[in-house]
Amino acid sequence: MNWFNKVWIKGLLFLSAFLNLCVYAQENTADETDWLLEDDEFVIVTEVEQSKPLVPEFSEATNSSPWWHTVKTTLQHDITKAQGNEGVERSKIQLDYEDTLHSDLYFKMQTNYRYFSRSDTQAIDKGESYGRSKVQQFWLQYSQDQCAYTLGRQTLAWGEVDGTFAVDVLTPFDFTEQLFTDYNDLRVAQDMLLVDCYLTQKQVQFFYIPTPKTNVISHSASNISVNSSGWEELGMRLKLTYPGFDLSIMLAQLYWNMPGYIPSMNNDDFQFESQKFDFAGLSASLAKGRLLYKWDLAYKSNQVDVISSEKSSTAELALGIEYTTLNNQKLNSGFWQVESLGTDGNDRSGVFTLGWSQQYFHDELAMSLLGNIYQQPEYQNITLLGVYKTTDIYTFSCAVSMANINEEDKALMDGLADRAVSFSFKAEI
Amino acid sequence: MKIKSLKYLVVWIIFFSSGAIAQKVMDANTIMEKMDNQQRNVSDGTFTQSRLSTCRFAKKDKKISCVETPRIKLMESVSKQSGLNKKDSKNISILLEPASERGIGMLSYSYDDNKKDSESWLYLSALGKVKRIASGSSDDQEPTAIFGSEFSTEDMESGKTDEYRYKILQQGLYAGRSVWVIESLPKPARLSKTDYSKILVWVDKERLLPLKMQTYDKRGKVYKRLLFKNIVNIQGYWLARDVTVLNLKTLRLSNMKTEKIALNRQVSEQFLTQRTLTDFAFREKELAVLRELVQ
Repeated sequence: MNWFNKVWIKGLLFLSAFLNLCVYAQENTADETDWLLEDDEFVIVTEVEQSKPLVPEFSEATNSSPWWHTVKTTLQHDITKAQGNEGVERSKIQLDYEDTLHSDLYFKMQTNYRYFSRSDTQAIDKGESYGRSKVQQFWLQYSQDQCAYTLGRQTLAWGEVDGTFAVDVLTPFDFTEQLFTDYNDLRVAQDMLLVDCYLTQKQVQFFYIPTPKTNVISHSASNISVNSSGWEELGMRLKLTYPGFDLSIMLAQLYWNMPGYIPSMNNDDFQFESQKFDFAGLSASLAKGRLLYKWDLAYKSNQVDVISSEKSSTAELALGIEYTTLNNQKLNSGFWQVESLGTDGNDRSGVFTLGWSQQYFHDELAMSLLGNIYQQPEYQNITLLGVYKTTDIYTFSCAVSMANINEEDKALMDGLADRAVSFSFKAEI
Repeated sequence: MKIKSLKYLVVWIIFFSSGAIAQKVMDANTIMEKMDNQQRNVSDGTFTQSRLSTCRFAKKDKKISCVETPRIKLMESVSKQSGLNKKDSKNISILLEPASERGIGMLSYSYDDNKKDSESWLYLSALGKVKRIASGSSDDQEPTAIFGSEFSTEDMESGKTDEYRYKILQQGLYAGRSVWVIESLPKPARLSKTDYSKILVWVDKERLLPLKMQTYDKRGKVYKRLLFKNIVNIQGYWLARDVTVLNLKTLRLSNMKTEKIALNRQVSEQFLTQRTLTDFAFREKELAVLRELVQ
């Protein structure tokens, strides 16, 4: 009894009783946790198939599908109203089809018909409204062992820094297109043979274009001839991939088809100047945390200066940086400088860009802002773009642009308005 | 003798008390780790065809249903675990529908090491170009919605069990199954990168997978409810082929149906590289083999 009366024994018993009570309480807090085992008070009817599905079932969407399920149809109407400038008013119907033809063969086609109404800048240029069909993609891809061979009309983008053309010169921007509405249409597709070989951490790419298309300015070149006999473009790229880092080395023989042109006299006729040139490029991107650093470096021989019409080699450097914030806002900035390596001393021109984008309302609305500062010709512009997907089918886009033009030579600013507002409506099924 | 017995009793009571508490903590951790481990095994060499539907919902006559035409995405995904204890993962997803997003592909490598940056490449069919994305390390990521749905990256992630404290709140029958109801509380290191202050998980004791989850916002209010249905056993692994998340704040729901699945398949290392984003013939040839093995 004396033993039981000891203080430490009492203390231990008290402690054990307390701990057991804790455990008991934890296990038997009937009032507080019993609800956890109750059945849910509702039934979820997520059978969205109750309404007719907008898309085919999987068995239809994959291998065993009839061919028409892999066809996409797009209807689009674009309008741009520009202050003191010609606008855009055009409609488009586009068909996309892609599918496996055989176990090693893949086919893709994208073709459209576009109608340019009387008030459209291209129709004004031509003197009447007109319709025009275009095959943007039409290629067959064969894959065997480590290599893929793609033959036909296609686009090919090189380089890392978006919106600059230091390296991205193979399938150039098509300036007859409204720039913001559809990236599919933005490039002048080329008929080419493309060979891609994939090795561990490496990709080797070869391309050959027998007859390159270089006119990126207008559909109507009736009064201006471009001598294209004997043209061909070819080149290669080696891409190395490391953790967090991509590096590409490029070599090519190309024709000049960058934005801008110079009229030149040839037998009393105007014609576009398009010079053959050699190209060497280096591109890299480095991901560090939420930052992405990008570089494009290019050397081009025999380049035509838009302002002076003189020819010289150029060294071009594009730097870009992208940052994704914690709440998924994307910020980017870029700088593209062209340095002419002429005998009369170096001539420099540059473009500085600053962009922001963010998605709202569960990705239904995408907003973006892009500002550019050009040194030559000298102007600044800013564009605010909103793209709203009302359903999986319908998309409505609106852009407002403003430009501050300081350039005295107005001929160089053809097509750029002080203020412009654009609308686009698209249905894709 | 009496005193000696009493002494043993005291010691046993104390031992049992502390032991019972320790066992409870350990059990909750073990359960969650086992469940997490099963989830990782399910993602190793796995091909899925999924339908993700999202809509605003309303409750009427004890039924919850869509009040608008749902947004539907169809996608095919291939995933593979790698690295030490298979805690790293490689995944490629390709969107088939809606038509406006067809052909978009995303390749991502994520690492268990919190300090190591995830790697992602995006192929946008409209641009025809593979673009590297800088998304930071898992230590540096906030939850984001998956394809604009109510599922967030946090709802889908695995391998982070050490970032939570677990406790069994209740056990018994739920929806006809014997379950543990486990409370997950984020540790301080996790708090900055979670939308949730607490998660309750109803774990099926026999099948070791969740039947229901309920998440709470930072103010302690119920935020999302996830329900796991159509539970099947494929090659010894239990998985739910129908998962619904109800966002009780926005009144939107998302439903993920795994329409077809193939587990434990041989996926070549080259398939989970940038080649698959641009070499369509290669991609389709590899996918055709996996599609034939689906259940």
